[in-house]
Amino acid sequence: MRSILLNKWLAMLVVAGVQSAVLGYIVVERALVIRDGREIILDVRPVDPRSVFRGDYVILDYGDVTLLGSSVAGDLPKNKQALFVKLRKGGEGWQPVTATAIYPSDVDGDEVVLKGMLSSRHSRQVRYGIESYFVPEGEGKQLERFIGKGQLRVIVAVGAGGQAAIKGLEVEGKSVYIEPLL
Amino acid sequence: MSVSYREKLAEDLPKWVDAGWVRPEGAAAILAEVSDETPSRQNRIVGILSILGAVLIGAGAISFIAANWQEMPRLFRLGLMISGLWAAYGAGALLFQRGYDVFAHAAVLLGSVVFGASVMLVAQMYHIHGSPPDAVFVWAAGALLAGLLMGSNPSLVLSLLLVCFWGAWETQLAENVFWPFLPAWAVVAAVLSWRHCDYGVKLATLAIGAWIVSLGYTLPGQPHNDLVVGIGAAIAGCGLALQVVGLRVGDYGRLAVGLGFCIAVAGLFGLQFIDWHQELSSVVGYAVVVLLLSVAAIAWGLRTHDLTLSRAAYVAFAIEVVGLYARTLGTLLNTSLFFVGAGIGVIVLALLAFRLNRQWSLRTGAKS
Repeated sequence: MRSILLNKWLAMLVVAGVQSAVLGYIVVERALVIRDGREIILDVRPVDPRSVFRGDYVILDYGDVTLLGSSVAGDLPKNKQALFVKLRKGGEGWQPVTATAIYPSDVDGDEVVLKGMLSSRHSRQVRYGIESYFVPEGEGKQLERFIGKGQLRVIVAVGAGGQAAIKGLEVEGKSVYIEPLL
Repeated sequence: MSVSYREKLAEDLPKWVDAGWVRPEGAAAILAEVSDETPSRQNRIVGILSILGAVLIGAGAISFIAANWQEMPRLFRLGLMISGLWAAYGAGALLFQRGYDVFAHAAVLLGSVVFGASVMLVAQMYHIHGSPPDAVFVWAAGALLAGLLMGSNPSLVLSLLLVCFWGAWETQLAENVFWPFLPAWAVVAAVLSWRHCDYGVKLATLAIGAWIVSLGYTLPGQPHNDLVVGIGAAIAGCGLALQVVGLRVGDYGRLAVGLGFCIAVAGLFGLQFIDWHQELSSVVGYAVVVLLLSVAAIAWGLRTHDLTLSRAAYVAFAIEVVGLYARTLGTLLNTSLFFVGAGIGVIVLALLAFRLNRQWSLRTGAKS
């Protein structure tokens, strides 16, 4: 242990290497979901705050998709535990049908499973990790106008394990912005 | 070490040598020690300035990421950040090798901050909302790794601050006790202690104290200030035992007494001023306990030359008096009666201490 600590160059290689690898891992994991994941399109509603570290962003509120009403089957796990929500496509878009602690085994073609986390057990609301969209400084307002008119929808890529990633934005049925992989 | 102190010593030491209190070689050693300290003092200013510089450059990197500047492709931005990270750690290793340790610490700290900015950049690139405190935790782990392997305390302190920020954020989100804070804190505190980082250990003590006090309010149900008082008393008790037995496990006995005292008093304040449903008689009881504890802590601090404990006890005493005045014990008249009674009690204690001191000095005088 001491000898590693004494050799600053080796230490530097390990530290910078591990930190770069962590960053690389997150990038690759996200890029793979966007490239290979199944696409679904969700309606959104706006809220506009700002993150201290990551700049301006628009909060995307997915409405019913995040609310597990009383008709949703399955026992809800505790806060901070992963939760798999099965969505089914109906006349009014995607709606949650079941919520389980493990990935459901029976998923039909018109169904998709999203991995989320219970943000409030009381209100039965779920977060899927796709609730913010970061925009260049000052451009949040324009985006909000689209959302305000109900014209904006989000293209979400869903990975095999249920991980969701924002793939792009759609206005009046036309994709206006597709996220680059890297 | 101030220059005037050194000059005063240079003036006094020959007199003390003449009087036979100090041997000539002792006087020479004392003067050498004092003048040896001066460069380290200058080094400390250089160190502080370079750390502040690193913090400012790091803040620049974070704001740059937050601006989400579109003129530069995001992959290029990520590349820039990762190269910055390698450059900072590389500079740290080089500076350590050349013996410029003060600048090396600043470079390692800068590397840790740039790592944090990079994590934020990746979250921004992929619109990862997830659980935002997780990003802070990844950052804290990176800073811990850098501080541990590169042997740099400022980066470890950054890691401690990030762990606290992460814990507070998660607690606020869960509206419940966030237990994972405890092992994370313990790991960082253990590394700080192993590295003999004095200010880091003090900061870690402060952090765990705040966390224990917060337990009074974050545990489900009614406030649990009685539990907080119990934990504080137990910690102070262990510290007292260490000090009395005379084990010199660093300064941990002293640290534990101070920590336990502050926690117990914070719990008692909670019981008196925050749990409004308390009976009047219990409030008076708690107030008496705080005043007695404060007096005891002042005395113990003076006896063991623990200025921090004495000062904390003065502050506790003052808060108790002001708090009671605001709370009023039923009526202002009752409060007034309480203050006069407590005042008389404290003066009686002072008289007792005075008599004990006199007897003690008479006895030691008679012996010599």
